[in-house]
Amino acid sequence: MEILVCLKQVPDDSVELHLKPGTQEVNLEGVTPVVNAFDTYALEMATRLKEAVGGSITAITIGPEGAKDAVKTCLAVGANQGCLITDPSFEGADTLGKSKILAAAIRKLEADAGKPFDLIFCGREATDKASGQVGPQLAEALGVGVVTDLVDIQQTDAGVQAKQETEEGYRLVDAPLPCVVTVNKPPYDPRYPTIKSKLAARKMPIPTLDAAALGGVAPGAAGSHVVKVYEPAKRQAGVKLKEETCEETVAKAIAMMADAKVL
Amino acid sequence: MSQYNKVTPELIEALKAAVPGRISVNGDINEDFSHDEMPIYGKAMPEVVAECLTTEEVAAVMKLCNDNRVPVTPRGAGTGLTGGAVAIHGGVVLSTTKMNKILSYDTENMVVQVQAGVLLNDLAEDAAKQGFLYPPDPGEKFATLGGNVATNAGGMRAVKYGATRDYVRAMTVVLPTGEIVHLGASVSKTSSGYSLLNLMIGSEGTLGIITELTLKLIPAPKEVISLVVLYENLEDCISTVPKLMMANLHPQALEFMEREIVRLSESYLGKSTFPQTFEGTDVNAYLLVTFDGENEDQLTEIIEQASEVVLEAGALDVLVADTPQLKKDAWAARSTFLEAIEANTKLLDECDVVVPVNQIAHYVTYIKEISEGYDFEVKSFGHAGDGNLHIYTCSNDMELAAFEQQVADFMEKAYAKATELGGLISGEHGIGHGKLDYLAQMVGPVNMRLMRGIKEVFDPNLVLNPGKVCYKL
Amino acid sequence: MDWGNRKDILVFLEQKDGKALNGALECLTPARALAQHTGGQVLAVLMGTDNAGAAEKVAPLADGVLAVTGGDYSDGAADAFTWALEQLAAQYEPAAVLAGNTPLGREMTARLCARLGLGSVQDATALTWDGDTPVWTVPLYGGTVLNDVVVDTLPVVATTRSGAFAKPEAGQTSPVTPVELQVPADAVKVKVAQAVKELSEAVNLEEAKVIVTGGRGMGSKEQFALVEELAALLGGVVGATRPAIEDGWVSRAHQVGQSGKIVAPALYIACGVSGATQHVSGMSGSGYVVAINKDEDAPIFDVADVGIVGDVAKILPLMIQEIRQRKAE
Repeated sequence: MEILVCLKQVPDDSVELHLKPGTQEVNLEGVTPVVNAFDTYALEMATRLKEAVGGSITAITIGPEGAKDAVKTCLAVGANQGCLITDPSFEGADTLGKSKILAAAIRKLEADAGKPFDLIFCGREATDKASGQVGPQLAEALGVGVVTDLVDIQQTDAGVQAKQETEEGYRLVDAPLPCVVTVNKPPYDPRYPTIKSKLAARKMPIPTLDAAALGGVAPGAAGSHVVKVYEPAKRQAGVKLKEETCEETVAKAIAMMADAKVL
Repeated sequence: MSQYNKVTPELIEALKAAVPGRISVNGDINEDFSHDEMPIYGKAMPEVVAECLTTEEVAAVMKLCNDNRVPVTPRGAGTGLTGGAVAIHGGVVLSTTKMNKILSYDTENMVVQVQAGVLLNDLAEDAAKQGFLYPPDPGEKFATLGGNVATNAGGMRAVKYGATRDYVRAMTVVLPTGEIVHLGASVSKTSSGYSLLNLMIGSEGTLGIITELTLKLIPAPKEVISLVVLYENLEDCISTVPKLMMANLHPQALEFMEREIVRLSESYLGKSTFPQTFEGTDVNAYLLVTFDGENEDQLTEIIEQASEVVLEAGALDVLVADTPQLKKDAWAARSTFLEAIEANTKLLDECDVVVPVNQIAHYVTYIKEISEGYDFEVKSFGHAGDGNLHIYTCSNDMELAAFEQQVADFMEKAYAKATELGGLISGEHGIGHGKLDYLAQMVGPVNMRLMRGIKEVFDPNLVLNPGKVCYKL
Repeated sequence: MDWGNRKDILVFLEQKDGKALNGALECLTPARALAQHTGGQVLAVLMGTDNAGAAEKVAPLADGVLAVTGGDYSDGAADAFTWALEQLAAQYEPAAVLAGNTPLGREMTARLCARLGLGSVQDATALTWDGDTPVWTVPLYGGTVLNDVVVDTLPVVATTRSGAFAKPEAGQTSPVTPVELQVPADAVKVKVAQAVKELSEAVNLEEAKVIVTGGRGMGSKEQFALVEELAALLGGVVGATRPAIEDGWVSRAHQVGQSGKIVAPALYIACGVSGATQHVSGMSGSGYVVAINKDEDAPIFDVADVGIVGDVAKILPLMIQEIRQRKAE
């Protein structure tokens, strides 16, 4: 199976991000760029599928030169090859623009390899903007089906069967190939690279594709614009109760809740 | 008959005047104050808990208690493992947890001044924001720095950076008499008489109460990477350690872990982090190694060399934790060992012997052999890089008396062997009152006499933390 | 903003068991604000095999209901929903298309935007106005940063966060227009093979008015039962933090926070919860927050209206007793 994994480099999501004081700029100083967590789940799911049915995984990302590191990270944990899609004109592209660029890159890679991708994996959303648009919009741009929020996938005679978590349980969804899937947190974690795979990935060349290589693709004007960036007002801390006895504390708390009419 | 007096209503009033609003008495005292993290050494409720805010308040409480011959037990976050902060002779527990302010950084001299009740975790995070690392890294991140200094806590990074002692430049101490003294200075050299500063470090609250500290920081290393090394058996795993140390690669941390304890902690975390098999072979032991450096290229070279060493020495494979998430997961599994053991065990005791690095394998094999003869389970892990081993005796079905009796027998052998191999009975947890008899046995009467003599110079009425380290009633 | 000839606001209402989700109904509120600026109507869109029950409840909340049938509009049939929404967007030429930010709402609107070449906002938490131009507030980086965003294309497409807007008050009932839309075979690419129910009832945290959440501080599964008891007493839903779930005290469906649900109940009671950012970002939209924790310095107290410093094992039974007494009176 020929598999493509789309990934995005984002700031380490275990770090709480804030604006530089007095500015509308997010302070990313000292924050490690990482592969979006949901994309790492997508890659792990893709790698397990590849190990089960055979095939090859290509990892791609749109971003500046530094995003090559994100591709390298993926080459150490399952991806067989990767490439960086980069062009100054891609900066500021919205999700629709990005899905167009990705679609053009996919067609280019398919033409170069002489074979199509069967399955395209994306994370369900990126941890920075969490809009969850690129996967479904990429499917539309490619004119193929999409299944969102998978937690598992397996090959079937007719294509793949994807497991989607629902409020009460789960759904199994059949999709013919090729198709796009977006991945939620599966019940397993992404694997560690081994020293061998890590060193090998470091040495692998990461080719780049620019707008010209993609037939002059342009993201087009963004369909929205940001007018203000700010931090949410902090919730005001209320009162802290610690009376002589627990009984008194509870009585006081309940009285306050009753006054606020929340009981 | 006790040589101490009970707390009187008059003393309570005087304490309330000295520490307004922060004195709890008898029934109001939270049960947490009766024990630390190793309740097997016995619980004891204090008569009074005083939560002080300043050095002056500590001095006032100390003076009142000294004058009234009432024992005082200093206490930080209560995360100790030897009963050191338990008021076994009653009296007053003096809590420093509200003295939790980071006072100032002197970035040019690379020191920070803190109150003793600041939590290790809070200093670590705050220092990181300023671009510094506070190298000592004991497993319990929610201990107070005062407590860390009082036990000379070691931790994961000791193999490269040393223990807490190496980072204490100066301190403010309230003596048992209520006098306030300043020891040390924020300089890096000293040859100015007996080092009272060093005497205070590791004294476990028996010589004075530490209220403020000046601690040394280092510039934070720019890059950190961890390796998880897989082994088929523990012998291969541990015999790698001297080779890795000889390779001059300066690991920041070097921990060994056995299969059972890794599984226990993974099931506690609900997350499987380390592979259980490698190409069909069961993985039975792991080394977790961390390196730090200035850039990725330099670090890659180091981990490549380290991998060569361990693979040659019989490792099955080397995994690389090179992203924040993977690093966090790898260390989370290691850091929750104690929590996982506590959550799964009804009766628990432990020791933290330290042996020469080249004797670790020998020692662990010995422990495994003798543990066959007891009804409890023995779980061990430890700082392979500095020979400091944590050995836990755990039982869910033994009677307490039988457990204590068997553990006493086991510990005696464990300590004797450690001493025989050139080691000591505690690497970082301290003596408290749980290990006092073993200390006396291992170091002998002359050493005990010296310690006791020092104690009497500082604490003529023997009111500060009685029954601990060297002074048994 | 120049709306051209566009006036009406289409609101897609996702249904579960024949009822529109609350999170979707809340979407009618920003829709009303938009309609007031465009001079159009709020049209609620229901799609299903039988919309009658839902339509009756929805009709008083909108200016009209479009009840779409004629295809396989069942759970998980995202292709059919997307196709039908595209048809309605063509037919009604709306000024805006809104949906709740559920997995389905998010997927449908994303695909609609791709088909029509539109911009959009997701997970909007507020709607303000710059003159006649709608400005949407969207959270970034797990909620520590907010962006105010203007959508530049028409129709304006947005999904809204559950709990961010109040459900509209019922007014006069409005007409229900049946719309027959037969989904062509080539519009459907993926098919639900099987839907499995594992939980007897859905954990409806997003729509709960009261949530009682337990964290690691509850100590054990047995003690966690106190959280369940208090929730039941208040007619609320049980929430949990990640550690409590990972310790196996309650199922993952109860998770509140960054990797779980974003909630905004009128009353939120956090028991033995320390208040990690990942958790707080999931509940900070709550109306009134009560926190119980024995650690006086726990960060949860920074976001609580009432903070109770004490041991949950002692406080919760007393609270349960006291509330029971009040109810009896």
